[in-house]
Formats: sequence, structure tokens, C-alpha cells
Amino acid sequence: MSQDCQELIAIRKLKNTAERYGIVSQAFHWLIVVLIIVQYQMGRIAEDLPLGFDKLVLMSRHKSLGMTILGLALLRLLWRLANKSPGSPPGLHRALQGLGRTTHVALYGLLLALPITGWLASSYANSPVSWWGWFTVPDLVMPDKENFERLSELHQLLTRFLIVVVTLHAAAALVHHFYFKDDVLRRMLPGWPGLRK
Amino acid sequence: MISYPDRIFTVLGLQIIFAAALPTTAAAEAQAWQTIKPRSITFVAVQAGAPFEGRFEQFEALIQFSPDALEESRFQVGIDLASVETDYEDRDEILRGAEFFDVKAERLAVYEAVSFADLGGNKFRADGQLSLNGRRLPVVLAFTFVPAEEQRNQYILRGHAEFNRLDFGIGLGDWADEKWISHTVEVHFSLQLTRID
Ligand code: HEM
Ligand code: HEM
Repeated sequence: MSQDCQELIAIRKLKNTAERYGIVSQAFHWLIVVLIIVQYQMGRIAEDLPLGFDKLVLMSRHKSLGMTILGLALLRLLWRLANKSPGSPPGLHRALQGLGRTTHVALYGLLLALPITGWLASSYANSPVSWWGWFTVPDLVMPDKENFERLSELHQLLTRFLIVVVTLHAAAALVHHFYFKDDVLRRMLPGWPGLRK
Repeated sequence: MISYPDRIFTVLGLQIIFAAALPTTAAAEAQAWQTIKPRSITFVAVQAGAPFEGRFEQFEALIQFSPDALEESRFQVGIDLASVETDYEDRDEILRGAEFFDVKAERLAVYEAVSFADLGGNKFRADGQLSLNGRRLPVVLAFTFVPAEEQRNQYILRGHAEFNRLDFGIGLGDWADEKWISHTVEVHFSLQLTRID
């Protein structure tokens, strides 16, 4: 195979096709999955810590990582706009297709709404967010104690909603794989040889 | 000769009579001022890489100042540390606690200056002493003294100071780490002054 041809295939692997997700979509998906798990745990642990130094440190990291996730989610959405996702597997019931699409919309919504409510809560608490100590993220709103309470409750509520939607989403992936025995899970996994031919 | 009225220092309900401490004879030529609204004492510290502003809601300032009688001028400012307000309840609680201001041990901070220098162009400098957290150390104020717009008889005293919080034993142990809370704290003040005759 010529050099040019190999490069072409490598580039094609980056993008989604009608059958499967490309490497970029996969990388976004699994990187964000890992970060969300860490982020969720950090939030829960920080929330339970007594007021003090450890809480400040963990909460600061929670904010930095949360802003990182927001940035990745925005890039991911841009990539998705430029790059159609593979369609539903053939023969899937229309109601299930709709459920799948709704779940994905909810997941994207949460990937934006969680960091934004956290960011708003921080601004309301007069605690500007620093991105890993490198730069200060601008405040969105003026300090306000009542609104801080509201936003932090909303942030917390969304994390519960996230658990529900992700559980549904992951369960669906497993049902597709083991029950329907289709390619839905495999096409989000790296290394599937679908493109090599 | 003016005699300073027996103003009672009521910040803490402690009834400290500052006036009694003022040398009324030596201070004959410097104008005595009373602070009126708007007046503020604020501070800026950097938390986890991001600066935030706080303020003291309760303070009392006895100002005896005339640009042409600096020798006789004098500042005495008492700040109720328990009145610290950073728009975030958790942080205020930590600031009032034993690791920071330790307001249970002593909630009054006092700044006193009797030595002033004219830097030209309405700019001045005070070399005073700050008593805070059981320590008394020199702190320099840089300030301006200008007539208030629209209020011919009133002046605005506005300036700032900087000190290292560790010099006053504020935030020791884990908190001493500069990475999480800046050592340098900036204090800003702006006081509207009206004459006491
Ligand atoms: C995908 C992103 C995020 C996830 C999954 C997440 C998750 C969580 C969780 C699980 C908690 C604990 C809630 C509880 O059980 O009480 C929490 C709390 C918190 N998070 Fe996030 N978070 C995210 C992004 C952010 C961002 C970007 C910020 C700020 C810039 C932020 C600020 C906060 C704050 C301030 C709290 C404490 C709220 C309170 O005091 O009640 N979060 N987060
Ligand atoms: C934090 C957790 C997760 C989030 C936020 C998330 C988010 C998403 C989103 C937004 C999509 C839609 C991609 C698109 O077409 O634009 C997607 C697809 C997918 N996710 Fe997840 N996901 C998570 C966890 C998981 C887990 C744990 C699994 C596997 C067990 C999984 C398996 C899949 C699969 C197989 C697809 C492709 C679905 C299809 O082809 O229609 N996800 N995920």
C-alpha cells in the first residue's frame, strides 16, 4: 500500500462514517466518561468534607476539572455538527430510536448544564473559578447568597439526573450488544476492524 | 483649639473611648473628621489562584488630618473582624475561626498612624501600626485626600495598604500554602469625611 493511501485511511478513521464512530468521537466519548466519573466522585467527597483546607483544595480541583469538561463538551459538539453520527441500526423500533436520540440530547444537555450551573453557583458565592491556577475564569453574575443556594441545589439535582440518564444510556448500550447483538456498542469502541477493509 | 468630641467607639459595643486617647492640645491644628456614608474597608486575597474581594461591615475611624498640619495629624481605625463579609457563608465562617482571625480570642483590629508624609499632588503616606491577631506591626498606607464632588465641606480619604497575612499569623498550617491562599492581602479603603467642629 502506498504512503498516500495509508495516510488517507488514517484520516478517514478520525471521522465518523455511516457505520461507526471515528477516532475523534470515540476519544471525546471515553475521555469525557472517565472525567465525569472522577468529577462526580470529587463533588460528592468534597460535599461531605467538613469546612476546611481539604474541602477548598478538592472543590478547586472540582471546578477546574468541571471547566475542562465544559471546554471538551463544546469542542465535542462542534465536532458533532461537522460530523454526522452513524444512524440507528437497521430494524430498530422507532420508539427506541426516539428514546436513544432523546437520551443523547439529554446527555449533551447535562454536559453543558452541569458545568454552567456549577460556574454560576461559584460566581454567586463570590468565589471566582481559576482554571488549574493558570487563569481566572470571568464571573457570570454578581454575588448573591440566595441565588447561590438555588444554583447549588440545581447543580446537585442535575447530578442525580445525570446518574439516571447515564444508567439508562449504559444499560441500553449493553442491551444492544448482548440482547439485540448489533454493532451499537462496538462502533463506539476503538479498534473495531470495520474500517480496515 | 478644637477638642475632639467624646465619641464613643461603639463598633463592638465595647465602649472604647478613643477620644480620651487623643492628645487634644498637640493636635490643635489638624482638622478632626467624622466618617459618613459612603465608607468602606475592603480587601482582596487570592484563593486557589482566583482573586476575591471581601469587606468589613463594622468599623470606626477617628481621623484628624490636615494636609498642612501633618505633624499633628492622626488616624485611629478600629475594625470588627467578626463583621467580615465575603458573600459566602462558608468562607466567612472559616475567616472568623481559630485558624484565621480567631474572633473568639480578639475581634478588634486597630490601625494607628501618627506619622505622615506629603508625596505631592494630594497623595500622602501614613506610617502606622496595625494590631491584628495579637501582633502589632508597621503597615504603610498610601492615600489621597480630595474634596468630595458637590459637597464642598466634605472630603474623601481613599487609599490602600498591603501586608503579608503570615506576619499576623493569619491562616497557618495547611492554609499557609501560597498556592491556595495568597500571602499578600491588599486592603482598600474609601471614607467620606465631614468636619467635626
Ligand atoms: C460535568 C461537570 C460536573 C459534575 C458531574 C459535577 C458534579 C458535582 C457533584 C456530584 C457535586 C456534589 C453534589 C452533592 O452531592 O451534594 C458537586 C458539587 C459542586 N460543584 Fe460540581 N460538577 C460539575 C461541574 C462543576 C463546575 C464546572 C463547577 C464550578 C465551576 C462546579 C461547582 C460545584 C460546587 C460549587 C459544588 C458544591 C455545591 C454546594 O456547595 O452545594 N461543578 N458537583
Ligand atoms: C458519563 C457517562 C456518559 C456520557 C456523558 C455519554 C454520552 C454519550 C453521548 C452524548 C452519546 C451520543 C454520541 C453522538 O452520536 O453524538 C453517546 C453515545 C454512546 N455511548 Fe455514551 N456516554 C456515557 C457513558 C457511556 C457508557 C458507560 C457506555 C457503555 C456502556 C456508553 C456507550 C455509548 C455508545 C455505545 C454510544 C453510541 C450510541 C449510538 O451509536 O447511537 N456510554 N454517549
